[in-house]
Amino acid sequence: MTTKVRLIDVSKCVGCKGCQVSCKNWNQLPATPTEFSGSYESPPDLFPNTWSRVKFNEYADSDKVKFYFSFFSCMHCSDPACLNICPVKAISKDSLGSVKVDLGVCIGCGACKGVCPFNVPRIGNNKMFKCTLCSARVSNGMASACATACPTGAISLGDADEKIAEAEARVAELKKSGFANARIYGKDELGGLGVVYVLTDAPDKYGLPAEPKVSLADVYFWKVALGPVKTLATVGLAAGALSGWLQMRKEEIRKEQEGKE
Amino acid sequence: MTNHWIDYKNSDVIMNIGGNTAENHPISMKWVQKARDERGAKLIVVDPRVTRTAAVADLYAPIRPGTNIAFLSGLINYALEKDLYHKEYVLNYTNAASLVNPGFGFNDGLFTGSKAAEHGQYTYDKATWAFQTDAEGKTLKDPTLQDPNCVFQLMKKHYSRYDVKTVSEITGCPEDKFREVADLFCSTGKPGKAGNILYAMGITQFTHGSQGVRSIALLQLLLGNVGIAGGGVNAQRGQSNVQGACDMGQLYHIVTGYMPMPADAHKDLAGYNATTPKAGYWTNRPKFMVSMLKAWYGDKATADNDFCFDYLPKLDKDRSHMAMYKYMAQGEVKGMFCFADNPAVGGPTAFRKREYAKKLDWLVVSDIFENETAAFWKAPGENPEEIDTEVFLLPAALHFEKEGTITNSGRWIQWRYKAQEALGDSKSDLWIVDKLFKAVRKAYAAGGKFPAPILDMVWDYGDDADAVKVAMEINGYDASGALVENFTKLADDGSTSCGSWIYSGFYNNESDPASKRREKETEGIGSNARWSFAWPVNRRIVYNRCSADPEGKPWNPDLPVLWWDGKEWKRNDVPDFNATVPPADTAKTPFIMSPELQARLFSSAMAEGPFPEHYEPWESPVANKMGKVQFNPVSKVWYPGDNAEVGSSEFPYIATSYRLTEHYQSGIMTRNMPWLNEAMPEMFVEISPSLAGKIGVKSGDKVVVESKRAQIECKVAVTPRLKSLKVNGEEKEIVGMFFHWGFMGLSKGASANDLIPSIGDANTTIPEFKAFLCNIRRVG
Amino acid sequence: MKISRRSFLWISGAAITGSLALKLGCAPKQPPAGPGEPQVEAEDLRIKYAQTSTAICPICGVGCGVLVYSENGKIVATEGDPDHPINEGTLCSKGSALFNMYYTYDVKGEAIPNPQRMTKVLYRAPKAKDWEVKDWNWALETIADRVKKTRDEYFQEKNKDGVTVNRCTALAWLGSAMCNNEENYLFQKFGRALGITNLDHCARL
Repeated sequence: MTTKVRLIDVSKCVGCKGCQVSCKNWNQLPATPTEFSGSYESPPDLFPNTWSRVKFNEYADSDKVKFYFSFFSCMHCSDPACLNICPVKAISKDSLGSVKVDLGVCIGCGACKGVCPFNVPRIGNNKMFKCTLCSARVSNGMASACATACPTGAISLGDADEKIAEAEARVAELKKSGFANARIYGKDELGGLGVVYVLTDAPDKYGLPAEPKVSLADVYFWKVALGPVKTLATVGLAAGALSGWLQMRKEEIRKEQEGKE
Repeated sequence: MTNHWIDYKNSDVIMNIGGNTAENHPISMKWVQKARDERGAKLIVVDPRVTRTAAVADLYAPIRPGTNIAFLSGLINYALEKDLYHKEYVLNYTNAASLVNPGFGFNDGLFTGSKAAEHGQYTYDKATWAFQTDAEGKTLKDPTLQDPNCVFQLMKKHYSRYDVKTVSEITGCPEDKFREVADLFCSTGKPGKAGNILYAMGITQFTHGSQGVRSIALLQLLLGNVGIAGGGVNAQRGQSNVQGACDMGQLYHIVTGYMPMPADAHKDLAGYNATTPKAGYWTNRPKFMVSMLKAWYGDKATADNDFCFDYLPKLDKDRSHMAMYKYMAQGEVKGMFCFADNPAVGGPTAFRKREYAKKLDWLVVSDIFENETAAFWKAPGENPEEIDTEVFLLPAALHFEKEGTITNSGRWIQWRYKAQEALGDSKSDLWIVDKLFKAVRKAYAAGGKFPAPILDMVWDYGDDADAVKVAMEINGYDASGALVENFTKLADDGSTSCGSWIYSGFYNNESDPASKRREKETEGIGSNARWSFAWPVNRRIVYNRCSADPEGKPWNPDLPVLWWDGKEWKRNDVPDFNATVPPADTAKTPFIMSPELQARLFSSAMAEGPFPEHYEPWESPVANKMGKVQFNPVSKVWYPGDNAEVGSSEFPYIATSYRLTEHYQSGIMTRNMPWLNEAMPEMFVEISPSLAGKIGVKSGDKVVVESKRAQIECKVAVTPRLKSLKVNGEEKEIVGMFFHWGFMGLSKGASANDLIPSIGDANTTIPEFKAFLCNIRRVG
Repeated sequence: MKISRRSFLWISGAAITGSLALKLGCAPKQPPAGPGEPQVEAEDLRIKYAQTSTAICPICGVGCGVLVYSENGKIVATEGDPDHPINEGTLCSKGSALFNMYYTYDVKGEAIPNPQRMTKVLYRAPKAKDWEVKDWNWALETIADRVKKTRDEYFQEKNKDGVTVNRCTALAWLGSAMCNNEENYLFQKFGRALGITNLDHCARL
């Protein structure tokens, strides 16, 4: 099977959150308690039991009010920082393009969260949780739960090259129909993401980093912090204890670094 | 809906006014998007706020709540003045040419025949709202449409008052925006173009709601958009079976299939039948009525006893929702059944629904969660020890724990199968009503007041009622005892039976009932004729004779609904006319349900007058710019003095109410679903940044919203999606609120409907949920 | 319609082959995409052994198709019906949440019947501060008794002009747009037999 790309065409999204709830439904995730955030956006963030959500942004230009919706979840990077940093090799990328966590191996250290340029991984019960690209569905020839639910075709899943071609054609079409700022996002960012967006405006207007980067400082910090983890993990230290030890170690290194500055 | 959901893909311009289709019917956007992708269709949204539908619209126009008729009248005037209407269609398919009684007129906000009545309201003698006739009683016509008394000229005169400037001043929609909407939507007045209007409660929930719907119909008729693929007057139903519940006669003024309820004036069946329309398909009504009586009373119903016509109660007066609650307050109503309904949150002036329930001796509620209607005695501030009402709360099965049909907005009657047994002691409503009937019948076996209608009733659905048996009774049986094919086979001699005539055909084959069919269309215009069954007679687009010109040539050859090939009618749908005769024979009679057999641009059927007129809501910030009559002159005032005065300084803001994608109606279902509470956790109201500045709040703060009737406390969202509107030269602010919350369930919150006035439309009595006055202030 | 697992796989397979597979380029039995590429083996779908029945979403008036999966008589999952011509497998947030009306997930991720569901007949006596749990037989007999008492006391056979009217305006019945056609039909039939004219439902609102 070839690598899949999840295409998010925000120009077709109506913000119904079918994707967000469908994700919880298929993945059997308990609800996360939330409070009114001041807008329609809820939940306000990703959580160990909430792997995808729709971001809502509102802008008042001179005469037009813009109400933007965008699906947000794991970007399934082609060269995932989380995979590279993981001290116990719990993270892998399969041929469908899904960045996956082996929960049996994960120790919940949080390094993946620390280096993710999109702040996607969430730690709960000493494990990392995030979108799996519904690999069980996709490996059976079905679409991911989010893409299956989407009423308007704003989320779709398909072969990378086809989806990118589709995105490029859509951007051209949008430009022609008056969306001067229409652009593609995720095709070239970080060497290509597993999620490609068709945007009608600048990425930051949708809560996406304009130039996503893996912070080298973060990577360095985590490499230092995690130095001995690999060894400790192989001797079978319980994940909980390891995690506790790691918290202490992180603090030590932070202090050291602050001292240097 | 005249059309159906999939048919949206055939539209060229779609206008969503008085509705919010992306939020309240999200899957509709699949077909709107398809029309945009494949036909380059344009989406217009007319709404007081930038909704999730407006967010993706090609054109958004703001409108002040309560001014739909002014807006639509402006569009009608625009089409007439600029000659953008579909002339051949209007001339042939509507009563535009009919000559009206010269005594008919309109002055100072009132049509001829008005008479002052109580509470400053009026009644009408409709004598002048009639046509000129010849000696044989035939309506006189002027096919040149030039006679000053012809419908077309009267219409032009009436609507000429709705010029762009006036409309803009009333509605708050800037003139240039209005013109953009008018140009774009009226571009569908050309033959071959399809304009589609989607609406919902943002049109209907006003004191002038029915005339709002009629305004849509008039505009669509002028533009030739009724009966064609991609066109239509499409009421998007908010609930999964609101269509079916109406079809089954679950309304005070009708029995099944929209036959009127017998009234005191009908001494017997002959008296009732004397009110049968004299022309059009409704002339068959006696067959449908007798067949319903046969379904209900079987062998006991004979020609000699008027087919048990007297067993039906006679309607004395308005017994609609608001009326029955008023009678409850007055002590007339003593016992009430309430199945899967939650008026204590969903009704107008909802707190009074809770108050009046105390007057009942007993209340039986069936629901899947403990709702506020059943738990009214637990409401905050109540002392149960002072409440004498007995309450029975029956645990109902969920939708996938039982089987049967529901009917969508496109009139598709679809079968739903059972997937698991009901939880605990919960039972389907079918089981509950069946057992209750049997218990009551048993109680009456020993005698009681007029037991015959109960003891003689056909009630044979098995020990545990079987939905299939009920479905077959609704479908009906012919003289041979076989399931009746469709309503054309029904008779008025007692030889046939049929529970609801419009449903005959939906279950006419026991082994392969139409409502269970699952064959998706592979080619065609999207009718999907082999998927379930659409009433009537599986017709997907009603009035479809109008899809072709008088000679039978489709207006749009690319999307033919029906077409005459020179020898016979070819079809992509079930014809809504006699298709066994050449097109010329039906060219002037395409509306078979209307006694005139044409669409009625002029009609005496409405309470307010033959043409819709803009009146202000019961509570309005401004005087009516169109005339001296401020408010719908024939709307019944149930609670005089319960409204804020015009331009009230105490309640200076326009208020409106609406829904969220993440919750549903009174919320008792969705507020008990954790995933949806996660996606929308709390009650809040929405205001503009300018109003927020005035009252000193930011998003997330607590506010009190107050109307003449009640006050509520909740959080506030400050959003540029709401803007003040310039009305008659003055800036007016809008407060928008959701009505999904109540004091029960996992997510609790204030009920916006506590604030709503109990005043309704003059034709349907639907309450005015969508426009009233309020004040808002910061808490603390 | 009950669909066996085998026929469901055929049905969904047909849908996927027909539409999704084209978009996805990954019909179930498609040969490997290229030589030497690491293959992802099809993982077990959690609904693999479930019975499937078709239903219609109970929320708005669109009438979307829903597939309901059950195992051992219990619903284990719901999702959009890919064969349904209106929604073609898609669903909004409310439609996607339907399972949650039946079951919720506890902190351990176990599905438990929605704790908010009504499972018992409840009765509230005059002046009582709380519900009492009752059984169906008691409820049916007691309600029938109340109905008869009210009807017998307030039934009107003729109006003041002597016209037969056979009504009881002391009774009221609200039906529902949330109930099936067959249920509403019986509400109306039963209600009219009792002589009820105060009969309406939420469509009026």
